[in-house]
Amino acid sequence: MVRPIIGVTAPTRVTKWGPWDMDATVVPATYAIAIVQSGGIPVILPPDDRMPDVIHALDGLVISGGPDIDPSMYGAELDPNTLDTYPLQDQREKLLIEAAIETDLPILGICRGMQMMCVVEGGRMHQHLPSTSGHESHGSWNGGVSDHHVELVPGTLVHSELGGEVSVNSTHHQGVEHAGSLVVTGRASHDGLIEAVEKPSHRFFHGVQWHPERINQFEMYSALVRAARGS
Amino acid sequence: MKPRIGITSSVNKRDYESEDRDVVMLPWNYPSIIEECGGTPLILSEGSDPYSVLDALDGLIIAGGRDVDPSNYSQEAAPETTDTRLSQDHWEIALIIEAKRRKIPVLGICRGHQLIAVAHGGSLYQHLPTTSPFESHGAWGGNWSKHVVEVMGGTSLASILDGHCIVNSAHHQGVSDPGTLTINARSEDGLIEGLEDGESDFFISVQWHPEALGQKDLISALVNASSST
Repeated sequence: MVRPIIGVTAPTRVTKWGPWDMDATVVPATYAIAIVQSGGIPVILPPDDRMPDVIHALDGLVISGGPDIDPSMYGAELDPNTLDTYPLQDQREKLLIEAAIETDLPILGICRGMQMMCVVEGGRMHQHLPSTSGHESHGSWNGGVSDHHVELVPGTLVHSELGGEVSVNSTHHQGVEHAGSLVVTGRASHDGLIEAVEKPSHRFFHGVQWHPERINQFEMYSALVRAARGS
Repeated sequence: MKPRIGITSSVNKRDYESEDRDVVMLPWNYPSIIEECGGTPLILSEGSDPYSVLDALDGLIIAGGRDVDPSNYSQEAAPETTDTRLSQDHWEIALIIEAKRRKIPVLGICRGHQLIAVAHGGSLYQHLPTTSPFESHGAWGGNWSKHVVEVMGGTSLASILDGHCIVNSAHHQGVSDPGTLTINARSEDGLIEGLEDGESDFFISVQWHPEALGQKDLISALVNASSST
């Protein structure tokens, strides 16, 4: 296989389509561009409530960014700062991550995707960083983007791909409090927040809190495509 | 494995997470009806190498969306032709041609129908509301219009749908010349509403929106044809 098929999770939202506001599957184009640039074929996966047999059509998977995860997924009460949640999207992505683990499918989690990986593996979230001691000034959110640095752990794949310290874009108000059974591979330089995780027993199971596809930082996408190709 | 049905999507500017971003989007009813008809929907994104994409698919839908760039059929753009995207046209035309060559089942819907005609040397009316006698087509004030189409006997489409069916309409352009393709359906005013190539097992396009109409006969026929490839 020259160009592996990489699934990208996507939500369904009411979106303008012609003269209508319609339910549409919608995801930023930057994910598909990053996958094409990295030599893969992106296919967008709409959320649904069926078993994820789409996994058999894929060589790799990106769990994309998006809204807050329903806190019931990690056994917490709903914090008033947790914004709109989408239980169907949560369930779908949980099933896909579990199926990817079972089939050893290469998987990359981005922002919410990394958070979902941690939640599936028994982790939990800070529901609102601006009111979380030690992380009050983590960065912009609510559509805004700020930059900060992340220190990556030597000996890990993210370190070999991106180096010891990397400048990243930050646009989230929740953060991983505990990564569950996953290994932390990167932390924010200024406040120690978990920014990258991996599951070493898996062929390729990595998550990053930032959005590399929006800053043309394609190393992790290329690594995913290589793993998906089996090389 | 269930038949894998690729559906082409559109890149549009939308306010999504932040203002005015390029997003890949497709109305939800396309993947939804494919699931209901027993297929696995995979939404395809412009720019993906068509040859590699088709290696991973059993069937293909060229979906509805924006106007086809008139340069594809050697016309100047009429004032009503807006929001064209030549890169998307070229990507989908390459998918259409290569899928047909490989005998992968193809269903074109609305824009997909028009693009399939153009890919076979056909041509379009750029604005039906000012083209006699087709003024009544389309969606106005946010409402679909409905009309009857006659399916031509002896065509592939006639083996799937009844001779007369009521369809929905949400388009302002239409096929004026089917190129090398065979007409398999017309509306009462004579507009070309469906095309097929007369050779492939399943290479059909329709001007209406079966996914929005819940017309499972047609989608199931695509999924079934795709499962035998």
